[in-house]
Amino acid sequence: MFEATLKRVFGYEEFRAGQREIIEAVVEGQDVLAIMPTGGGKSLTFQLPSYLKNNGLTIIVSPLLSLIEDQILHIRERGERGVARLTSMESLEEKQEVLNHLKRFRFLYLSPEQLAVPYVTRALANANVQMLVIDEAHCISQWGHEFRPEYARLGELRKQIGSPQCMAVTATAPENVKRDIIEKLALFTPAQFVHSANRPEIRLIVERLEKEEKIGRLKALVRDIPKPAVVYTATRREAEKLSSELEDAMFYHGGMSTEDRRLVQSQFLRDEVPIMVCTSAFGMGVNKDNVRSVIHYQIPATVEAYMQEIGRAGRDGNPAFAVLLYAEGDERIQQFLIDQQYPKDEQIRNAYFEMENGSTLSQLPRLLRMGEDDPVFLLLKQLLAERSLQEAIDWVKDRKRARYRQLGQMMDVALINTCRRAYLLRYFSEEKVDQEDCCDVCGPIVFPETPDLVRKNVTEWKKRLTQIFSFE
Amino acid sequence: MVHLADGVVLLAIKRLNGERSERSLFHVLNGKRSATTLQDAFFYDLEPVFGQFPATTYEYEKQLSEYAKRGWLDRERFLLTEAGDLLASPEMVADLFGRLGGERRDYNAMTWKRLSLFVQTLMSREHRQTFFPVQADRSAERWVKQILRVDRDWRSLMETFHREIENALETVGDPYATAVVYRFTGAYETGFTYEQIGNLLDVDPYTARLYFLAGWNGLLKALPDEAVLKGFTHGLSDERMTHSARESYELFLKGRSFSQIQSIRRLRTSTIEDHVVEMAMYLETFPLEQFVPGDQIQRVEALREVGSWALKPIYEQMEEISYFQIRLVLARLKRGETFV
Repeated sequence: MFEATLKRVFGYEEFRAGQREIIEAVVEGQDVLAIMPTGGGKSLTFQLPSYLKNNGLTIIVSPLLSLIEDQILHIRERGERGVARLTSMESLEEKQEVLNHLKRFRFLYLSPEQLAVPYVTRALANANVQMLVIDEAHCISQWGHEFRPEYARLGELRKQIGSPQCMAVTATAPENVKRDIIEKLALFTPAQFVHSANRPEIRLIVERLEKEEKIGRLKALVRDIPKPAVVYTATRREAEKLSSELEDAMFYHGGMSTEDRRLVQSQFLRDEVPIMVCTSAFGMGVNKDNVRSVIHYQIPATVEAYMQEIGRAGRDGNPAFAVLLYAEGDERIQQFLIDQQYPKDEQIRNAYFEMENGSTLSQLPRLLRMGEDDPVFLLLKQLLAERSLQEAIDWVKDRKRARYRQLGQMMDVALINTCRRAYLLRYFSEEKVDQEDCCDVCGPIVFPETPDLVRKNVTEWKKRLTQIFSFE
Repeated sequence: MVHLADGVVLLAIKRLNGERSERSLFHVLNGKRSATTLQDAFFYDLEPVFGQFPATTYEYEKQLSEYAKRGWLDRERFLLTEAGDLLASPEMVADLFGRLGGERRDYNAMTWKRLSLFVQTLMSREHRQTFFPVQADRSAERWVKQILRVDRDWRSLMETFHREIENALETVGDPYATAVVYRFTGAYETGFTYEQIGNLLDVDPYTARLYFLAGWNGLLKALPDEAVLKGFTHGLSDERMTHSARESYELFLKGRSFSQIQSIRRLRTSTIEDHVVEMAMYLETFPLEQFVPGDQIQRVEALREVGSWALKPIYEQMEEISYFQIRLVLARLKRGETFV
């Protein structure tokens, strides 16, 4: 019966490893915690049960607009109409329209902020909710690499909508994060599914070089490695600069217009451009099976981020390559980016001082010269609400220290002289595995020859227009 | 490589003549539909760039300080330096400036979203290709969905669209035609980013963007009235007048007086005055004498310095006239009327 639905709705012949067990637990009505690597087919495990039970709404909380957009796109692509979303992009009327007709929908995607809006919570409390899914559940944990304050209230909100069955999914969660998820969401003896973080098809390579050599090496590397390839950098500016220096490369980052972003994604998906240089904004929810290589031009901030990013390669199961280029001192960029995500001691002190002296929260941004929706200010606001001055300062110090430690662990991946795969697996409390073509420490990795991808065909505009409008 | 985009913004600064502030231009470039900003765009010939450079305060500030750093701009007086003037002066810059349509209730932008999404959707459907929509606009999405529901002979209709676009772009010419065509996405061809179009035409991406906007505006203007493509503008208006001013205008047409309108619409005097100024700016004919006595009109015209649209010097030399009245006279003068 599961297989019939899989075939009918999703068009697949068989489940991927591990999917069936999760679906069984969901259908039985258990709370579920599922840890599956990127590309393991997470979304199918909470979507398919909806077709089996056919009873009520599946709510999916997701942290990023782009993630929600992509998921909805994929659902609609297979012809499902019963999907809606509530995000900051919808107008009040559109939201009302959705909330007034919840019965029409099978899936409702929303951001944690939207779930916390009182009239939304109320409407959902009165609806027939089959299951609440928390995507990217690691965001709930302060020990996770992407802690999001908006996630902190999810446990309470779950209660408010009547404590429906709950499923927490994430790609990566070490032991302490797992405990945090279960506790914060009040999962009731959840069925736990932990898939190996290992991606045997990806060969791991680290190259240590001098700073000045990096760009030259990158140019040579993108010529030799199998494509399509993704090059990750730390900043938008660097993404733009590198793409202009590489042949056949385009850049992608969050600062581009929606239309341009979509054009780049679409070109990459269709193999019209072989190399994409991007910040971590790219990739979330991008379903491209045949990415052959991922290059890190800058060291990622955490092992989790590294795993997630290299995990975009080789989803079709064929051999793929992950290359990290590391020069001494590269970590400083990440340190700087970490520091920027937290208020400085001085700012914390000023904020508490101002509040003490009768300033209101709405005056604060101006007084501190911070943007109202600056994430740092939002964090500061939360600290003000929950902690004393000293506690706030200590909390930030602790958080930063934890982030530095995580960065240190990522540095280890680059610096160790033992098997990199074994190190990564140990990080996720897993046993090491032996495999051929493992990492550059275990033995030399050779890039296979691959055919060049199709080049852009540039023609005179009339010809291009004719191609676009051609039914042949 | 050609960089015209900076020239276009510099030309906008030049046209403001030091009579308006940095903030004024910011609102014009962002297309703020307030009375003051609409008037600035109208008087200083900035309507083509109205709403064509959306930017955050931060980005705008960065841009201006960059201009100052390069020695193009005197920020104190908001005037161009000689070097800046040199960049704003080429005929190419003024030509591109004039080709931009300016934002008119999102008419150009929405029509593009509809058509480009429609072409991509229909062609992908015909070729049985799954696709990744180039537009993320909900209302454009709904619109396209709705018209695709109707069963028609889409193939012959597409041929008509193709012909109409080609004919229109032929009159617009290159580089604009190339910029527009390469922005389209079909079943197998994905549109180019501005970066890529820039490479194609050997200009920077900002200039490429302006080429596209200019080309698209030119295409819409070149379409004959009977063009089937006009269907994509259905329900859209390209009027410059705001909705609110239009409402007041309609009450005037029904013979209501200024104060009647004010009490019907429950708006402040100054708001209705702004509406009347809009009428003076945008209407073919306008009964100026109903608002300003004839001799006053002539005095304003005589006092105005050539090339200036500043109100204050006139106000200070006259008695018993309001800023509102001066604005009305200047609006008609700007439209080429003369009363002396």
